[in-house]
Amino acid sequence: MTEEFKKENDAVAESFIKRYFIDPWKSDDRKVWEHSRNFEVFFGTKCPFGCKYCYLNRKGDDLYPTDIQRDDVLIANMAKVLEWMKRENMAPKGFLFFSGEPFVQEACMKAIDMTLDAFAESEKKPEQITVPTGFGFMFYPEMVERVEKLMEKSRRVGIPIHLSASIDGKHCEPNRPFKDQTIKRDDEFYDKAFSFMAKWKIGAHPMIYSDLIENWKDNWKWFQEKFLKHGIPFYKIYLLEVRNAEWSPDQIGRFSEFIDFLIEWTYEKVFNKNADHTLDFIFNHGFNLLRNSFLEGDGRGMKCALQDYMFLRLGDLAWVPCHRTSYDQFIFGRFIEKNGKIDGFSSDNSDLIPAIYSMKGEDMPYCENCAIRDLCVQGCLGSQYEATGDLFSPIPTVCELEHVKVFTIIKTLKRLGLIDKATAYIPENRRKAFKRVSDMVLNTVN
Amino acid sequence: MQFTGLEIMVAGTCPLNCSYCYIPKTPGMDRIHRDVLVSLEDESVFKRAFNLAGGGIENIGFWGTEPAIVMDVLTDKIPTMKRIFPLLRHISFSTSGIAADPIIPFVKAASRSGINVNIQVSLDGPDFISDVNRFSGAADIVPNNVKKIVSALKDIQAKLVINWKPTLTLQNMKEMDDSKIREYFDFFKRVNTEIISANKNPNIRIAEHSAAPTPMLPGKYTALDGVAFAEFIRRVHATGNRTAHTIKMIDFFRRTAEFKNDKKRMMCGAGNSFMAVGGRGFICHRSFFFDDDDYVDAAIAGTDEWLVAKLNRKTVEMLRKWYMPDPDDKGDIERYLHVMEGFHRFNKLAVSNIEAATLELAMVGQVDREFLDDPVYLRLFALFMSTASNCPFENILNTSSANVMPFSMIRFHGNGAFREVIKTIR
Ligand code: SF4
Ligand code: SF4
Repeated sequence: MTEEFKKENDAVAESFIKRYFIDPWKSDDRKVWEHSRNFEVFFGTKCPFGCKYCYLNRKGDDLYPTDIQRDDVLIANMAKVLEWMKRENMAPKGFLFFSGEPFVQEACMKAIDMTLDAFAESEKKPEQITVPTGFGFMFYPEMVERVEKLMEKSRRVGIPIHLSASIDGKHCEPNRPFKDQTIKRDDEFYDKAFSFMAKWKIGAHPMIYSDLIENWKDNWKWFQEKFLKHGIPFYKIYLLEVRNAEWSPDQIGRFSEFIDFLIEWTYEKVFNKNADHTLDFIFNHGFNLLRNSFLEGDGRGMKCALQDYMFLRLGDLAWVPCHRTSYDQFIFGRFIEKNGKIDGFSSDNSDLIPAIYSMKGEDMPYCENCAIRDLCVQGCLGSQYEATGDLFSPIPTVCELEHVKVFTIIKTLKRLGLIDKATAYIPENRRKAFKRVSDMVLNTVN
Repeated sequence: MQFTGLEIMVAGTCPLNCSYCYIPKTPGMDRIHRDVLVSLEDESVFKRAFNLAGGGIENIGFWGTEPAIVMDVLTDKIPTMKRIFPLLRHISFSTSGIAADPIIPFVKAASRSGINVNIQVSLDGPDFISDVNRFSGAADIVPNNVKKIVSALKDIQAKLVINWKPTLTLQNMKEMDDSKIREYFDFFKRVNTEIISANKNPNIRIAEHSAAPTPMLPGKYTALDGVAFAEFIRRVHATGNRTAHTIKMIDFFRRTAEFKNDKKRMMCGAGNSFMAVGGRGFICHRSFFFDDDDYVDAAIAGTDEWLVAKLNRKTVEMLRKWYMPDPDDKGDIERYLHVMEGFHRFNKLAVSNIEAATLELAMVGQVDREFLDDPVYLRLFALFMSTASNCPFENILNTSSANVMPFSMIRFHGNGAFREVIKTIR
């Protein structure tokens, strides 16, 4: 019975992988994809930084045991993955290399290079390779040179590498320290980093964290000064609130002040008090932090990348829900090898697959009945697990943060006289909710 | 605090060794039992229960293994329970029915304190099942003991309800042809009649419908197991009887018709209306002993009984960390309550998870294909499963989340059983 049971679970997982990933990856018509079907290589957890909010820093070994992060194994597995994709004539829409700090790891650089080589001559190619980086490589000129070479090559072969700069800014420096405390980011470092960003059109990706939230107005001004100095457009900054449990009421208040500041700054400093331009920017283009509450959605149920990716923990070829939920008990299963090649899949927690890929954030317990459910980014499953013990149970302090965020956006739009025009700029499927919540906030909540 | 009920760990050993029992009979359990006994005698378990669940308790259940072996201690502790939980009105326990003598004085003492008692007696049916599943002679001995209890309690003033808990393994179901099914229901009819005529006290009631057969859950069920379960239900219905599944379904439709389909009322109250307590908090009695390494070792080694997909050390670690709240840590208790309340109060995620999983299974032929074609049927199935057949503990052990039901349960019910019951109700 047990054998048959396992076989049946494997069959469900394999059917899902084929339908959800392999068929789109093989398809020539990318339009048939309801939303992106990407592939994340969860490479490792090695990192020179000790960011305060980082889950790899806090839970690294539970998420990705170090004993399965041997360079030779990682490279061998990367070769197997690429051979499998080539053999099956398929290419994910995009690749993402996720690691503590990819560019200070020789093996990760190699894995990226292997990916470029593998698809260089293919008709079917990934559209891009994304690499989030803390810019640790900027400290080593020879590394900068190698990264640039890789980026040039990626453009030559038609699979451009896009970096995203995980830099939190001068005024939040203590949130992102180096593990080796003798290394510090100084003005010289930042100037080098920003000129690199300008050259390669790279945006910044700072995290809005509870610690030092009071510095964010200054931090914002600092970013914009640097952008100006290096000719980077003001909007090349992807702000994201860290949805960890540790937000205190006072910090949430400071967060609200920053949201208010950010909207006013955009209205006054960028768009010269032009209401239409400001609203169009806020709701349809700019700063993720403001916009993510109002996203139209594109067939995904979650506002994060969870359902866009197959997350593969490279060290053991484990398909995991994502890099923050790759605890042993959540592993969907592992790709199996025969004669050194990927050939089949062995399920572990396959029962979780349909739940993760079909869920809608607003259906989570508590969200179901929450006043802002249609305007909330909802919690991060990994963070929810870390704080509550359950992937799907919202963290009360994060709920408070999200309420305050939505309420502040509404109140600031009112304060600036933008609220009446706002509805027209909000994606249609969020308008009703926006109207309901803003009526409630402006008429009944002080 | 919201709790009105408690499940208290009262015993760790058992004189029997029922075929489907999930509690390993190892020497380690003797040690656990001694500790449990100490916690009853020094009353520390009741103090922990107060910390975890507050003083508003109205019902206490005795769980663990066979409570009859500690009934004398429990009888002595009735005043303590009353003192710590002044609202206490009901005590319930489940017994193998192997002995009547220890139970009689307990019920009398409870009655004197104004406490009603509910006794659930494990009896799986006639000798061809009970004597095989439980112990030789069970089909005679158990009903006789119940008769003895009823006869000895002529004068109690408080209420006593006795109900049966028949558990059938899939093997039992497969082996029961029409005549055996008739024999099963005739057996309970005869036993009920005999006990009812032996009963001279209007305060005592036998819950006759409780004889409806219940499948042993959980299991690592395959599609074919689901087909066998459906076939069993069909045969039971053909004899004009009902399974526990049928009764649940009728209840489900009745509540739906009355717009009262309330998840909280239709499922267990684990972590919501009741708290289970031993050395620390537990989801319910079924997760008892998982804080003990010997028990876990034995349970993992004997996975035939623990028929769950993911009973391994990591799952157990998770269970220990998140689902065994520390009686001395208010924050931990609040966190646990938040998760369990979320599970019990809300249903949208559960319904959508079950629908998605059912569709996946249907696509590979592991449940009825009808689910692919009929969204109303699919929704009804998901509503039924999420409210009437949803066990947070089993979900956690299998899928690592209380909010995700394992495929196994969906296969078990989705291969004809659900259709069969709907057909009958129609
Ligand atoms: S605030 Fe909390 S409960 Fe409300 S929708 Fe957001 S995550 Fe869900
Ligand atoms: S349904 Fe599950 S959690 Fe609830 S009491 Fe039964 S075994 Fe325990």
